[in-house]
Amino acid sequence: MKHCQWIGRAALAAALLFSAPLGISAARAADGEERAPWIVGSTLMNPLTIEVFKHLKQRAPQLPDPRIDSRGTSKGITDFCAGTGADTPDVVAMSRRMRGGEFETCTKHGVADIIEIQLGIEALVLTVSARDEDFALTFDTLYRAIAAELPESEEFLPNAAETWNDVDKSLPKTRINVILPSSALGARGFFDNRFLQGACREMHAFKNIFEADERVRQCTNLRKDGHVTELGVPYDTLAVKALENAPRGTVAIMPLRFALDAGDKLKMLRFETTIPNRENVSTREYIGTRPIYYYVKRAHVKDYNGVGLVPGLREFITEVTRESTFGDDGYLVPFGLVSMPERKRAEVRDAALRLKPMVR
Amino acid sequence: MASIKTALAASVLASLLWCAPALAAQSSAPATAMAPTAAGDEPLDLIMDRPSTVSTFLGTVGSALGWAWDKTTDAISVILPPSPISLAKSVDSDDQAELVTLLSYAGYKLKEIDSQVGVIPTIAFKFALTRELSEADWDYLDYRLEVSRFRTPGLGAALQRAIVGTVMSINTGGAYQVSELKIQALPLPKVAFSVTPKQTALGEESSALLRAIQKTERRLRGDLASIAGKILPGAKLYRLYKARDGIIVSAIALFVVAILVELRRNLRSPARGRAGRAIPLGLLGLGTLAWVVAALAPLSLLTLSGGIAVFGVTALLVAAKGPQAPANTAADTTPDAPEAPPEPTTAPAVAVHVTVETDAKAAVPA
Repeated sequence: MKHCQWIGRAALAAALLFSAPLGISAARAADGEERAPWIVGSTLMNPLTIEVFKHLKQRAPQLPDPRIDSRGTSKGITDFCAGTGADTPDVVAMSRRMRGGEFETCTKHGVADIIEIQLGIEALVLTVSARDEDFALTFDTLYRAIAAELPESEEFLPNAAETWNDVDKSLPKTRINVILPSSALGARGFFDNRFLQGACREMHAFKNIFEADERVRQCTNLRKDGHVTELGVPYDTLAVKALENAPRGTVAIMPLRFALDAGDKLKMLRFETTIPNRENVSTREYIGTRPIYYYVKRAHVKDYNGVGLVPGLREFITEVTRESTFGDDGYLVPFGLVSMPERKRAEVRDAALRLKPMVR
Repeated sequence: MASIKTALAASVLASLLWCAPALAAQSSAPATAMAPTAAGDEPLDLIMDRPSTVSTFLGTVGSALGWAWDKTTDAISVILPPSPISLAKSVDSDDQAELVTLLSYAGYKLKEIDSQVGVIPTIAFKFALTRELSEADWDYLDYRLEVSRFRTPGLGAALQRAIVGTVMSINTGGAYQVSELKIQALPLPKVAFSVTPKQTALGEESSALLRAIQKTERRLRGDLASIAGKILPGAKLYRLYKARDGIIVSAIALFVVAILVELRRNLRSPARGRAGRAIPLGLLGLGTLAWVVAALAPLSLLTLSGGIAVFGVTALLVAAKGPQAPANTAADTTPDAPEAPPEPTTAPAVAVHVTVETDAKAAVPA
């Protein structure tokens, strides 16, 4: 009799165990009605994402058109980590790596398994006209040339430097003139974060400011006396044209791709002892770089058995990690992507295709 | 039996102690002197009542003890922790440990070094949060960790990165932050994180204090920039007439000069009574007061130069007119007004009197 009871209990447990996935599938089918991939995040990566889907559609025309909401990295990660389900995005495109705190927020909201795909690297470089003389800049000299106020014996005084030579005696005696992307462009945020704050980070006066907001405000306050020129879209064309007509000593901040494309009209300056090129950007030896990523919710990926919320996500992951996409000669390279070293690409591809969840 | 053993041990110890000076002398003596002689006991040994074999034995034991002592002190110096000052200097140096560098990028600075010397020495480093990190700072720290992963493999470096990574994940996690980090190196490696809410009373207070200081500094800077003639309360009214500064100052200058001239004339004139002297004196006082107000008010360079120029021209005119004044005075005090004799008590009156006499004498022959 006892044996019968045990057999009954085991059968019940087995039934419950095996019916659970079916229940989940049913629930997904009920609430989920399959929908198109939904991508949020960085505006900078918008052209890259569009290009990836364009190629994906050529390979698999039956896939639905994606929904792309590019409202910036911070907004994107907030939406992405809000939870799982049809009303939340599937992919976030980020112009930096996901932070530990963001990962924890995601986990707390039930977005536990996230697939991390590093797409590549982007870089900003300093250029001058091809007919101009070469000189080398550092975080410090660049900052001292364009900051509105400079720290002087524990207080901030207006910047009075007129020529590069006023900033550093090894630099030419040409007027300081720096061309920057306007504040509305993503590249400007990158410049502020990487170059300006990179300079302030090493200055004692800035280290003494406890509040981050106050420090950033002071650090990113640039001169308005004609030494700094801001240009809007299309930045590459405008900047190259401005450099051609500018007086000697004019420096333009440029994405690496633009600088390489206009190689006959301008030349790149040495920055922090390194002249940027694809190799040292790829290895991030050149300091003016940042990585770009896609993060995909594993729970939304429809697998080959048809289980999952969003068809096309698995194909998206495969497409992104193809050599023909993010490799050295991939179709994203003309869009400003600098590919990672081959070994790193292989690691990323392997983890992504196996849908391996990230760990932070 | 036990007592015999104890007695033997005591005697050996006593002999060692007794021989200590001799051992020291022998250990420092040349090797040849320590070599046992084949000729048997030396005369000195006989005098000291010690056979040479015992002396040699004691010398060897002494050397061994000396060696052991040296090694022991060396070993102790090896295991002793370095002094806190040398540690602090090494932390502040350019080639500081990577952990310290990474922690400085995470916003932490060395606050204390706890060092205890004893049988089990201890060393612990305390790091305190000295600044909040911006988004860009976090990204940069992430970048530095990634670079460190490539450049510095190994368990030690990985542990250091794990410490920084833990701090990073706590501080970016939400409401909490690592306010103090204690890294113990001896006797056993240990890391202690003091995690506190970000919005504590103390943090709030410190932050408010800092904001107040910065606000005051900004205000002071603004005040210094605008202090060139815009702040004195009395000057506010004057500023309304700033465009006419030159005219006003020139008028005041002319007024003062005119009063001076008039005063001079009146003081010299015995014909004027007290009222005649008081009016110009009062006017002079008013003029001086006006001048002081004008001087207190912030004057532009143009105003000043205009005022000085007008004043200078007036002074020149007065100086040119000056020699005529006595003549006029003399004319006024001709003998047809003898009812006003000069007062003999004051020096100016005497001087006037003399002048009158001279002029009168000159006039009589005519």
